[in-house]
Amino acid sequence: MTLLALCNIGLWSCVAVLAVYTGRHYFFTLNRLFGKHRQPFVDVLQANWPSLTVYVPAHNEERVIRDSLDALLTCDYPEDRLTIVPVDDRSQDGTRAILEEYRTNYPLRVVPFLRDEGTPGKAAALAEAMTRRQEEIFLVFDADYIPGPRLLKQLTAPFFDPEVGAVMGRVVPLNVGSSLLTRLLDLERAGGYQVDQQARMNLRLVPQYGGTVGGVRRVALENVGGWRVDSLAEDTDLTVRLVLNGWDVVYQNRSECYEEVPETWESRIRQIKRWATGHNQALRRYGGALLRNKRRLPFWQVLDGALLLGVFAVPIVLLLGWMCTIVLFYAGYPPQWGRVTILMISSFNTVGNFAAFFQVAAASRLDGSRERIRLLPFLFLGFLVSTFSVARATLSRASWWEGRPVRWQKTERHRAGRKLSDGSSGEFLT
Amino acid sequence: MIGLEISWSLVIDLVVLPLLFSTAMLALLDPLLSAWRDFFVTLREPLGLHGAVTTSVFELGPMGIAIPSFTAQGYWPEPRDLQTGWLLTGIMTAVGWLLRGRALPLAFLLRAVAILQLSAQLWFTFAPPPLIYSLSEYIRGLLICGVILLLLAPFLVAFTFHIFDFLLWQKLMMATLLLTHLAVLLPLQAAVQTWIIHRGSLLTLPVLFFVFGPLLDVFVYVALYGWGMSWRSGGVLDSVDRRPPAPVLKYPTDRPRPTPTPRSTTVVTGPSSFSFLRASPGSAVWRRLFPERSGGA
Repeated sequence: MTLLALCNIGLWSCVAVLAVYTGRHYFFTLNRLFGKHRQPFVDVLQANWPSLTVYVPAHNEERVIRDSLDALLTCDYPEDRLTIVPVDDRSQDGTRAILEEYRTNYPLRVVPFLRDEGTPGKAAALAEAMTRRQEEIFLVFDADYIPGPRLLKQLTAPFFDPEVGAVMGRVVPLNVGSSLLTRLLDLERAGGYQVDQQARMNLRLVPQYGGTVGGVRRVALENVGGWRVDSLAEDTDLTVRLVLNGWDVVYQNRSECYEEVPETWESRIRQIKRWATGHNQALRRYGGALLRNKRRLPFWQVLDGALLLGVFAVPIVLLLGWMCTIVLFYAGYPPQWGRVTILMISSFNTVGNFAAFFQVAAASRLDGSRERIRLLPFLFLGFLVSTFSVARATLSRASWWEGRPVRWQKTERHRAGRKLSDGSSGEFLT
Repeated sequence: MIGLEISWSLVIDLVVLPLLFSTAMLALLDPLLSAWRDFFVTLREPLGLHGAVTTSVFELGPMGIAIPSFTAQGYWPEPRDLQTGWLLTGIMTAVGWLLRGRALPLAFLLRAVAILQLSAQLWFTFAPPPLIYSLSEYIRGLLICGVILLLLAPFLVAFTFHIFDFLLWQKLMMATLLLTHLAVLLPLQAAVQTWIIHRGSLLTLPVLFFVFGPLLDVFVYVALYGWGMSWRSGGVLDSVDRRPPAPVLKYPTDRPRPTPTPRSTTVVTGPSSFSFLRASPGSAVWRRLFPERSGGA
């Protein structure tokens, strides 16, 4: 077979993959716009609320952790049934001093867990902290997340259904107006949660537990083998294991929690490369098991799970498609207009943290923030950066081989207005 | 949760409007292409393009479409052109690696263009002439692609814009704007690319094709679409702005701080019975949760 024939087959294969993802985006958006919405637990306001532990993993989080703890302490969850456990993993800034202050001011309510040894990383820290508590239900918030007053109840309510293994809330950027990047990330997040996650919930597919603004049932976690401490995306890893073992994952669109998104492109690139690497690890570990489907999961759930696991491999497919196009272009075999046009349209539709422009625009209208949609063409910049960064991460050794030690992969914080341990005022880091 | 409803008027908007626009476009294609030809004739001398403007027929199903193009030729790059190309590729690469901070997306764009230009440099350095595409054939292909896009664009608008609860005039406006914009952009795009390739040799053709060809046309739609989607429709999606703009880096200075223990929040408890247990006896979840009962289930 000649190189040209290979490129021809390669290009068609790439276009086919991109078309599947494009169709998926479109279908999800139509479902979110016109479908019947499943939100079975949103009206649970009064109940005999179970004892709840909220874990806040932290590593050098002095800029943000006060805000998070203050917000958690002012939530309306019954005080005698709520324990907040900030998990400090070898912080070297003022995080520990802050946690000690909260331990003193809020005894029994804030119970910090401090660790200096063991495997570093969020999953390992959570796994160790959980051995000290017995509560059946626990929630996890990253240290920069700020929950609203009713969020804890909203995220706990789905666990009254015994088949629910994990719950995920909606992430909303707090620092939207800081830069072009934060505005673009706001659009991407809207598309990802308001449309993508809610459509998966509606269709009983695989809503993703995101590792923060969510909760897990202890028995479910133990049933699937606990936290994987060697995973860079312990959330995706856990989601797939729960689904493979027959547990439900629930998404609550109204349970909004505010986060600080990266304000610099460098920070964003590090974040998305970490996601891509962790996601690909999960693809390698569970892709086969999902497709073999020994649990006899519904076909559409398996398909959605497979597409979810493969989402960070799409940029590689896209770049491969472009390479084939370039070869075929120079060879002049045969005229390329039709296929190239399809590829280019697919490029716009597919890449970008599974938030294509149509999906993003629909999500922003559903949110009532229509003026932000004018930034839509600038998403091209974000897509471009994401494509190359994710492709690089996907081609890295860490994505596909075991053995690399896991360490804290931290997203830079930018929040201002706090007195820091080094005496600075905590202005922007850039 | 807020959403839209499928109605007959929506179905009509999705089927009838694009059909109307496509039919109108088809009917207007001859005068439009004639206008493009006149435009090319007017521009040929000021742009210094040799030759003439010709018309060739492209068969689209049972129809023949007269596509105008210049007969001016793009020449195989000379050593001086290649040297200039290497220099530009080097500059783009260097700037692409040096740019940091807020300009990083621009850096990625420059790197991508540099890679494409590198492929052209290598091709024209090592491959024997001629290039399989002549300038006039290339421009003809670009315009054929544009004409197909013009005919399909109403359907693209229908399935991405008309499905929302916009008013009829807004839907008509969006389709008209896009078609008008493309009708003006396409001949301009063709004329500018012809001039660049004619002046700068065929070395410039690959980048023009990959970056400023159909990709540019799609980008135009995304930009117009973004603007259109920000219009106030007065429909259900505009009934209320549900999510106010998030405050920028102010939280939680304006939110009350928690009161220290012992009591700062109200304890809320309610009835202890729940009516939405879904585990059915004998199921896998039932056995896992109630192993002691699973024997009798």
